[in-house]
Amino acid sequence: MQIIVKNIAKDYGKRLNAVHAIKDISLEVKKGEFLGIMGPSGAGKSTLLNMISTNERPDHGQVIIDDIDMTQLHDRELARYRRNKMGFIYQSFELLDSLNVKENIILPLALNHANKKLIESRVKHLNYLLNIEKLSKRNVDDLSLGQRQLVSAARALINNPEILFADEPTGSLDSKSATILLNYMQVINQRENATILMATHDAFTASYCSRVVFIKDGTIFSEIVNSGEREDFFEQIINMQRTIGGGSYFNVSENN
Amino acid sequence: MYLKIIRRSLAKMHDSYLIYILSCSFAIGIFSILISLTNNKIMKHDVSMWRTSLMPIVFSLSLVFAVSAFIYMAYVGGFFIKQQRHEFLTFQKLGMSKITITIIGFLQTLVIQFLAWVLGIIEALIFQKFFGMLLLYLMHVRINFTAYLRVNSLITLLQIAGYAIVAFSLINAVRTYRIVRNNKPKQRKVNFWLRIPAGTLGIVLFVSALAVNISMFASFEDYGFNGYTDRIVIQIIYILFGFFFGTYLIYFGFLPVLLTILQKIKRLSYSGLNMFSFKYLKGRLKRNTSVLWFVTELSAMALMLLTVCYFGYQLIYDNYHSEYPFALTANSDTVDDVRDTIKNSKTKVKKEYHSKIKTTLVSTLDPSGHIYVQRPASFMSYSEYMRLPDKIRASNPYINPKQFMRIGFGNDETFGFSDHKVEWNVKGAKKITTRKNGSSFPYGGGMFAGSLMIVPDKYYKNLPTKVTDTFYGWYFKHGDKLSKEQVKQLDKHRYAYIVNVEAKSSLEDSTLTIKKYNQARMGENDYIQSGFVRQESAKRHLNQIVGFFIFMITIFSIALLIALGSVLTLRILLRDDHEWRQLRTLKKIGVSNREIRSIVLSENALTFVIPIVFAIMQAYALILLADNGARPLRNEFIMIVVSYVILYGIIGIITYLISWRSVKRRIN
Repeated sequence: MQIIVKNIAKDYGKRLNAVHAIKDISLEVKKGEFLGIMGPSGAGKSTLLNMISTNERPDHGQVIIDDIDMTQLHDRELARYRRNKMGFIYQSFELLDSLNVKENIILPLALNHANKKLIESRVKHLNYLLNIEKLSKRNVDDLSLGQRQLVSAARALINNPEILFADEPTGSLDSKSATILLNYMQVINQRENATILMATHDAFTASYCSRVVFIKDGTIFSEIVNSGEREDFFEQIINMQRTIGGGSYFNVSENN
Repeated sequence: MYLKIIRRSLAKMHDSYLIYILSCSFAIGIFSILISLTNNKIMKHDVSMWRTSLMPIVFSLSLVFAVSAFIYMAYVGGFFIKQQRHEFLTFQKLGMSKITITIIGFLQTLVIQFLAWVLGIIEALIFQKFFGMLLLYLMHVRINFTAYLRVNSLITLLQIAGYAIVAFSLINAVRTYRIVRNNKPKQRKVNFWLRIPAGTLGIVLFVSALAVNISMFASFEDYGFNGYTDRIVIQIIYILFGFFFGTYLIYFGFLPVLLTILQKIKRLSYSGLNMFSFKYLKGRLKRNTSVLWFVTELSAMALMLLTVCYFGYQLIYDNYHSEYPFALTANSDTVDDVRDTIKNSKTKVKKEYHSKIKTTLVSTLDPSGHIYVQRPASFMSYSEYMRLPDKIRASNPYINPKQFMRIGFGNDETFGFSDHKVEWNVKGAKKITTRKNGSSFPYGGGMFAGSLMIVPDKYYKNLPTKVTDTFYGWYFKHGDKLSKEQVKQLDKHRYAYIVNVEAKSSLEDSTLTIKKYNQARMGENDYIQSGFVRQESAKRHLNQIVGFFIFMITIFSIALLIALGSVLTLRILLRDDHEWRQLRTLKKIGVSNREIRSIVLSENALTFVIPIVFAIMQAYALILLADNGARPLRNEFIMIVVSYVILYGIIGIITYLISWRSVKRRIN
């Protein structure tokens, strides 16, 4: 297992006002797996993803990645690990508005002091792949939401991460751009054997995953595994969404 | 609801508000103390100089202080309103009326100002006694200081507080209203291509001002300083103009262009966080250009003023020691009375000495160097001079038995003409030419009708004159213990006689006669010979003046340092929402705390180091102008700069620590 999540919990607020965002969740992710995290709004998807991606520290429990307990790492080691092994696509893009598009994309490589040649070749490759060559010199403020998301994705993928975390990566994209991005994520998952964890509430997006975990009220409600047929898997996801939202239970796969 | 919004705003920016409140309360406290000192009964009653000359100075300085503090409080108070721009606009979007938001801005300032004034007045009440005691201690006045604040003064102070609180709140209310009225911020985007010529012009102005400065300094060294010619005035105006505007243009154009060039060099910018930090720092620099410039110029001014003040202090002190290297002196007419007075007091005499002198007429060039003037001058033989206590001779240069040395009044020597060539035509004797110049008069300058010349014994013996005298001097262990009554008695012997000069076209025909002192019949050519000179009263006045100025300069310097430091600190602490977001984003994409801390450190360094470097350069260049080689100001300047940089550096370090603390709290 590449990622082992052991009994993690997270509360927001204090004492009487405390909100239990995540309640004792355990989870395992194999290397090269494409895991989807689904659930209604406020279920705790993003919180769970943030804790696994070490963006937030859990109140309890452990997050073990490649046999390293991330909750015990010092800030500097954690930053180094995140920079070398992880890529992030955020719902809110998290682009630096003082930098232009190209500078935003190459920042992770620059942080690693990569050589200029490698930086230029990687950025050229991603520009071509995500069709964002023309945006290269533009300011972030001048981009549409969809373009921002593609830039955010390019930044996440530029250093060939071993683990990619994506929080609603297609939320701001039109269907064409969403399909391009998802196909690319699937390619790096299959060819590069990269592990992907993706939080989404969109069934179509989730149908690209090999497994989907459903969260409700801070706990794992159920999970379904992709048997290989995307259309069937899509149906199963839709049914599970209905169930979580109060619909019928009978359409849920027996695997679950 | 209003209270909740105000409370949230206070809590959100509590670090910055705390710095502002403390700085304001310090200013208010000092102002209140200065005002209360002017009316203090003890000072008025027991310190004579306070009534006559120091009180009006304190009053004027407290007004200057009040105006400066008002500008500071109004200007810096605006930072907080600007900081809440997004919040106010959000309130407006949510349906809050412009007036309501303006009232929130007004009330927030009211609370902050109220706290600052309450703290300031409390500080004044608590520390008034301490400051008064400190002032008296520095002035060497050994009386007990009683803190005193009249009801009327307190009421006036409270009235000022009330008006100021309302005024500052209104100013910020107007600022708030302008934010919600305009809705969109004025985009003052300056084209990058405008910054290049502006920066180049800035460098040209600054460097040329420096060059003019150095050439002027060199010409002073070569030819001396002979008054203010038109050319010098124009050069000085150019230097001031070049430094003043050159610095602004460097901040406005050169530094952003430099950072842009660094950012374009891929080898540099593609390494680590440079790509972000160059742009981030450039953004911060552009936003704070005026503040940095303001701080630079004020720091330069402060450094120059401190150096000049310190120099003035040293000058007064040196002059004092030259003029009064003794405790009490008398001449042959008054010696018996003075000696009796000393015996009748409890004064312990440590040393008594005397010297014979001759007085005759000399003709010398006046300061313009064109006209010969005839005056009386005194002569002392080398042997007599060498018999004087070492302490008296300590400030004068060394001479051998064959050399002449002129001991002159003043500032000639202090201002760097100690190797000035002196030529004296002496009546009935050989012309004297010497480059030895001293400033320490044995028996004090007041005892000599003109300058004094120390001459070889043979020259002294052959000097033909009828006017001779013997001077007497005493040293005491702890100053003299003369009572007021005894001093009053001695005052009768203040003037011994008059030396009258009857000048003719030829020095040899001119005459010198001794007349009895009569104030009513004093003429233009009459020179008074003092009967005695007492050090104690001059010493008391000197101590009072020096102590007073040390007190005032210290207070003003600390206030200036706090004001400048807090402006820079607040500019660093108050970041825009998007600046905070950027730092948080860095953290999210895998930048460590240590690397983010390095950005905060660079920002601090940029904000604190650049102004002080430019300020030191400007101040040093201008100090050089006042420097005349013989009494260089460089040592004073270095000492002042080192102390200023240390204090300024401490503020910089504290700012860095506070800044990093708040960044860390927000990004983690």
